[in-house]
Amino acid sequence: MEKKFTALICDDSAVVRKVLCRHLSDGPFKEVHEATDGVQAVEMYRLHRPDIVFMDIVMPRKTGIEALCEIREHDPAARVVMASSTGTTRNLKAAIDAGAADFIQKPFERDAVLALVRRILEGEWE
Amino acid sequence: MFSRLFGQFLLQEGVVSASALSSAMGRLGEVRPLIGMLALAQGFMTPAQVVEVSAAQKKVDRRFGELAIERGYLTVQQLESIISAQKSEHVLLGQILVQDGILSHEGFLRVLDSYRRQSGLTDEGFEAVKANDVDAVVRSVLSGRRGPGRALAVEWGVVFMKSLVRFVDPGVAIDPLAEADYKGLRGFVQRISGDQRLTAFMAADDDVLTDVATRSSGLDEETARELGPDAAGEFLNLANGLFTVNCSDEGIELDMMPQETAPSMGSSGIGEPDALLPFLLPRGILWAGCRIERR
Repeated sequence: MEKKFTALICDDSAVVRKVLCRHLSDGPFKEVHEATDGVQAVEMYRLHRPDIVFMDIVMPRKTGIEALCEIREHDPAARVVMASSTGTTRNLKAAIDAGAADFIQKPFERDAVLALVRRILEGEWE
Repeated sequence: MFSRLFGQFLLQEGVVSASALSSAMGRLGEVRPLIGMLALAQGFMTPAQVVEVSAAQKKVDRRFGELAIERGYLTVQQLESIISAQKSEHVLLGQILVQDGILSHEGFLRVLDSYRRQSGLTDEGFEAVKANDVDAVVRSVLSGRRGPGRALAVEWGVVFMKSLVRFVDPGVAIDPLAEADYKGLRGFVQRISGDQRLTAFMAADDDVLTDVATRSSGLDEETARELGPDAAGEFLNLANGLFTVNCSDEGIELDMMPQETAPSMGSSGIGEPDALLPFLLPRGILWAGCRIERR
């Protein structure tokens, strides 16, 4: 039987969360949780321990980079994908330094999202 | 593309009203191009010659081309090149406006020439516009802007327009406008700070914003309406994101801040942007602009 995973989408835009949620519904997920800011992202991670996290960079209360650092501090094995429309050199460097698993540029395309999920969960999603 | 740019110019110059322009644009696909208008646009015939042949045509059951050749106004080669040439939508737009009595033949030529001069386009750029070369259109139209922070404002406009072209509408129009009344329109603003502070915003009626949201997000219209302002605001977020990436590639680092809605742009302290761009979209006009402040 195919293994089912849990995902967490952190983005202050309801549109982005909805679009990403739809793309992930075509993947191997049993649950997809949503957080609307950086503070909630850290709380939701601790609560659900998702297999993969999609994290926006520009968010209220706490940026995605800050939330990523806290999550990685709590769980060094956390797989966090930075998802943003601002894929600047500085943002990318900050995300990599903080231990991001990957980076995906908005707007999301279904195939790109699912290919990334497959790569991140490699060996577990067959 | 060109018909929208030209139409936007007619609107800005007060030659047509928004409703007359929308009506004319909507009929482009239904109209058969007339030889007289094509000959006029290509400079083969003068307005007076076109009017004369058109009047003669009403009295006798003969074709326009035959009568024009007979009078020595057109050569056979010119007529053949007109017939074989691609349909030019801006000529069709002019034709509709002439038929509707909004423009005369002379007026059409005058405003077309005026557009060429005022758009700041070179002859080469003008041809690129007609050929629907998006990059050339954007750069040509925006390169004439003046004022502080011009370089970034221009670049933002380029990215914003490309976003519209990419996500919303392949036929988008853009022209400078200094002042506008935003009352009654819903708007969005996002500030971007770094070496510069950039405040970008857009405003339009709900129908236009829903259209923008639907096309840019891929969501269906009902869902976009349910999500309300956030759906269209995300488009601005996306355009600004692309802008900061462009800047980053050029060595300019900017920080993006969370987007916020501006219920009343006129009194929210945002002030007038350096550049205010009207984008003529299928469902109406979307206003977008940005303000640059050096720190």
